[in-house]
This record gives sequence, structure tokens and C-alpha cells, in this order.
Amino acid sequence: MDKSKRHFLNKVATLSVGATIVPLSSISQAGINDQPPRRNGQIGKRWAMLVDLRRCIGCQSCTVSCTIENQIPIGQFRTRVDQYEVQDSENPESITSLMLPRLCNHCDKPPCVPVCPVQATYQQKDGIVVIDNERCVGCGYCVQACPYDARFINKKTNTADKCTFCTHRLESGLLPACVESCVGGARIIGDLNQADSQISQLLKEHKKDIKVLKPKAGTHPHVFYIGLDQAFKNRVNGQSAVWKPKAEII
Amino acid sequence: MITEILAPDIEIVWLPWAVAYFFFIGISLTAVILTLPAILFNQKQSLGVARAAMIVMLVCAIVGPVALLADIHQPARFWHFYAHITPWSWMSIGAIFLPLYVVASLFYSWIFLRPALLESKGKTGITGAMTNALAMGSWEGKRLLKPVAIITLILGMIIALYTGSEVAIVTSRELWSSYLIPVFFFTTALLGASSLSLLIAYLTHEDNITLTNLGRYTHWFSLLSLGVLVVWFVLAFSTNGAEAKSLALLQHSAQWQFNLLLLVLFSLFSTLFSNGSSKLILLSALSGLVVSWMSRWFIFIDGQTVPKYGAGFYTYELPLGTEGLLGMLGVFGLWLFFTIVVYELLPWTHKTETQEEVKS
Repeated sequence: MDKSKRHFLNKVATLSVGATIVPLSSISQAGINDQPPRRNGQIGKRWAMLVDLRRCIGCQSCTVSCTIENQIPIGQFRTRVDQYEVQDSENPESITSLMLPRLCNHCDKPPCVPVCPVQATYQQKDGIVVIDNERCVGCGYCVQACPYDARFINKKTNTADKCTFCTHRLESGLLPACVESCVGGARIIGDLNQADSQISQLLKEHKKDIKVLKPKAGTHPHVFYIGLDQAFKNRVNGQSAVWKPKAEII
Repeated sequence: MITEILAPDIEIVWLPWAVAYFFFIGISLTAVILTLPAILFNQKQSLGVARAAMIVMLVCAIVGPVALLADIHQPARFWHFYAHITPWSWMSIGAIFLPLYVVASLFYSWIFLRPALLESKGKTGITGAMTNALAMGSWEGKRLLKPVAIITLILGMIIALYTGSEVAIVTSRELWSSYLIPVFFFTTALLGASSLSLLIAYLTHEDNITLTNLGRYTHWFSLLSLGVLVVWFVLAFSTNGAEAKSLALLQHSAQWQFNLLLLVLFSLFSTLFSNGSSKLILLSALSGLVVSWMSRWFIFIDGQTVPKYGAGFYTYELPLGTEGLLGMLGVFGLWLFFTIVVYELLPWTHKTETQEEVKS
């Protein structure tokens, strides 16, 4: 067969096979359990939060304001402040407290996203991980995959729920409820892509003292802490005193 | 020393329904394997095993997905699985193959029963009406039996792969994040399948050869499951992986130690009693079922009581309602109902030409 003819037929074959595969390949860019492409959100931004533990007094204003803003059922939390008592092993008289605000880390590699079987949870282009709760089937797979216990099945909606950095407020130029209400100014939110933003400046200034939770989990969290002791980087090794709310769900 | 002063108790999200799904679907897909000696390799002495395993495969393939549907918190939205197919999620892959497997297992048992259905044609009463309706023509479909068995087997293995992988990729849970999880699910499912088939074979008056064969399977499958446990411990002591982290949790939880002790004890019962008298064999089968159920309960329910970040363990009490005891009674009731319906209304014991042919 003529070489150019063979070449032409080859091309046609490739094109026709390609055309049948195109719709599939566009959705299968990610291998099993790989991160799918980000969508929606504010283009060009990368939202992140810095929590200055030296300023947190454990007043739970953030917990309350988040619950009011986002109408979370009683006993469930998008954010909260865990409290610990730390006793010095060498000097038992010396006891200090640690207030640890916890929320979704809006990881750069969020393990909760690829597991979702209906793409209800996804990462926006601005880094915020959100849930389309009209699509969510409430399978709870993302709740299992999150390494921070930041997700839960909302008892009212029966769908997955979590902190969204109050993306609805950010889009309107407002601060997240927890940041707005923090009496000590411990929570700072900002755009990492802006070198002159307060968060970028603080991260640069305190570079040596910045920590994230479970740094080795490979999730690249985007909630940073100043003043977090080494002992709290990973799963807390200590005495538990879990609190179970007795209140009825309203 | 660190003491947690204030941290909430977080509830589990994969409820006992998930345990029931993994229990029934695992048993169903491994029961396919038990039917193969008679169907694929024409072993006449295995026909009784195939009959019992076929009932187990069929009923568990129906009950499993019902339990799964009950476990998702928005069951009416199950169609979202098909409207938004997600090839990178193991659960989505499972959602595609699960209905295919269920249909294949229904078709497999139908083809297996066809000769008997044709012979029973024309009978009266409920059974007659049922067989007449199911006969659908006068073709025997003998030639289809082996290919359908192989297709059902392949689909079953895909379900085994997805159920195991779905759990094993969850790196945030030490107990789940192990390559041994799919293997352990598989061996304990085999144990459950042989045990349940043994129970069904006993209740449906299969001959002693069948009971002895199933007893032998149960013996080896419980040894295999114990073997996987031993490998898990070897890994836990010799590596720094998820198994080692789970071992550290095990050392801190009396509940986990008790679970493990029961698991080993029942596995031993199942192994030791499987060669005894018919009553002891039954005890072996019941122990095998306990192992199959308990291992999944331990992995899912107790596995979810480990805080991802906080100290100690969360609490779990079995609720009495549909999310707990009542739900589980219901799902076992459903299994019993379907087993009775499938056994009573279909001609399992009918000596058909195909079955005779296989025998000779």
C-alpha cells in the first residue's frame, strides 16, 4: 500500500478510536484514587488559614459563631477548640493548657475528594474543599478518608458536612464567621498567592515556627499553626476525656 | 503527660449495615467458587455442595445490596451513583459492577435450575405457577451454564477486589490501611460461604458426602483466615506500617484484645469441629459464620472508634433501633425469608437430567 495512504488510514483510525474515547478520557484523567481536576471557586487565589495558638484563649466563640452561621446540628461541629492539659514529666507541678482550634485543613491533596463516588465533594480552584449536598448520597466515604475527623454526616441533611472556610462569605468580601468572632485575633485567613497578604507575611515572618497537623500524612494541609508543640503534630498520645453532648437535636 | 480536657465524641458513619453488606456480599461471591467443582469440572460428588452454595450465593446477592442501600444516609439518591460515574473512586467502580454481579448470580442460578424448571412445568399450586413463570420457553440452556459460571465468578472477583480496596486505601484508619484487609475479607468470606452452605446443606437434607466436603472446606478456610492473622502479626512486629500502628492501639484497648481473642477462639472451634460428627460439624459452621461476621464488625465498628487525631477511643454503643440491633435482626430476617422462598418455591431437590448427567 502507498505509504501516504497507509499514514492517512492510520490517522483516520486513530481519530475515530479517539472520538469514541474522548468523552471517557475527559473524565478519567485521574487514576483510581488520584486527585480529580479542581473546579469552580475564585480563580487565581489560594485560601489558607493561620492559627496563632499564642492568641487563642479557648473561649469557643469560633465554635458558636460557626454553628450559628452554618446552622450545624447540636453536637456536631465544623470547627471547635479542643482543650488539653499538659503536665511536665520532669516537673509534675508544672501544668499548662493547650487550646487547639480544629477545622478542615483544605489540604492540597485532600484524601476526602477522590473517594467520593458521585463527585459531590470537590476542591475549588481557590483550594477550598466543598460539598454539593444536593448531590451527596451520604455514603460517609469522605468522612472515613479524612485524616483529621473534620467531616461528619449532618444529622439534619443526612449528607456529608464540613468547614468551607465560609466560602459564601469570602466570595462576598466578608471574613469567615470564626475569624470574624475570634476575640484574640488568633485566626487569620488570606490568599497565599498574594505575597503582601497578612497570612503570606506572617508565614514568612514565623517560617521556623509554622506547623501543620499530621505533616507526614501527605495531605499538605493549608491550616497552619504558630506555637504548636511537637507533641501535638500527630495523633495525641494521652489520656482521653471525650465529651458526648446530651442535648436533643433540635 | 497530656490529658484531653475537651474534645467531642464523634459518631461512627458506617453503621452495622455496612458490616451486613460486606458479610453477605463476601459470602455470596465466594459461594460462586464453591459451585465450580460441580459446574466447571463435572465433579459428581460436589453437586450437593453446588446446590447449597447456589442458594447461598443467590440469597446473599439479594440481601447484601439491600443492606448497602440502608447504610447510605440518602438511599433515595442511589441513582446519583449512575448519573455521576466517577472512575477514580473505588466505591463508584463498585456501584457499576455490583448490579452486574447481582444480575449474573440470578442468571447463573436460573440457568442451573432450568432443566428442573422444565421438568416441573405444568404442575399446579404456588410452586407450579412459579416454575411455569420462570421456565420461559422450553430451551434448556445447558451450553450456557459454564460460560455464565465463569462470568459470575469474574464479576464476583471484581466485587471482592473493590470491597477490599475500598477499605484498604483509607490510610487515615490504621486498622483498614493494610494490604492484608482484602485478603482477610476474602478468606473470612470463604469461611462464611462454606459455613453457610454447610448449614443450608444440613437443613435441606443433603447427603453425608456433601456435609463432609463442606466440613473440609470450612476446616481449611478457617485455617487460612488464621494464617492471614498470623501474617498480620508478623508484619505488625517486623515493620513500621499500618499494622504496627494498629498493634499499638490493640495494646491500649481491652475491647480490641477481647475481640481478637474471640476471633481466634471461634476460628479454632471452626477448624477443630469440622471433622467431627454431623452435630459438631454444625457447630463448626456456626463458629465459621461468627468469625466471618465478627471480623467485619471488629474492622468496621471498632475500627471507627479510633480518633483520627485525638487521644484514646470514641465510644460506641449498639443502638436498639434500625441503625443497630433492630436493623440487624431485620437484615437476618430478610435473609431467612429469601432463603425459605428460594428453597421452597424452586425445584432444588428435583433430580434433573443435567444434574444426573453431571453425576454420571
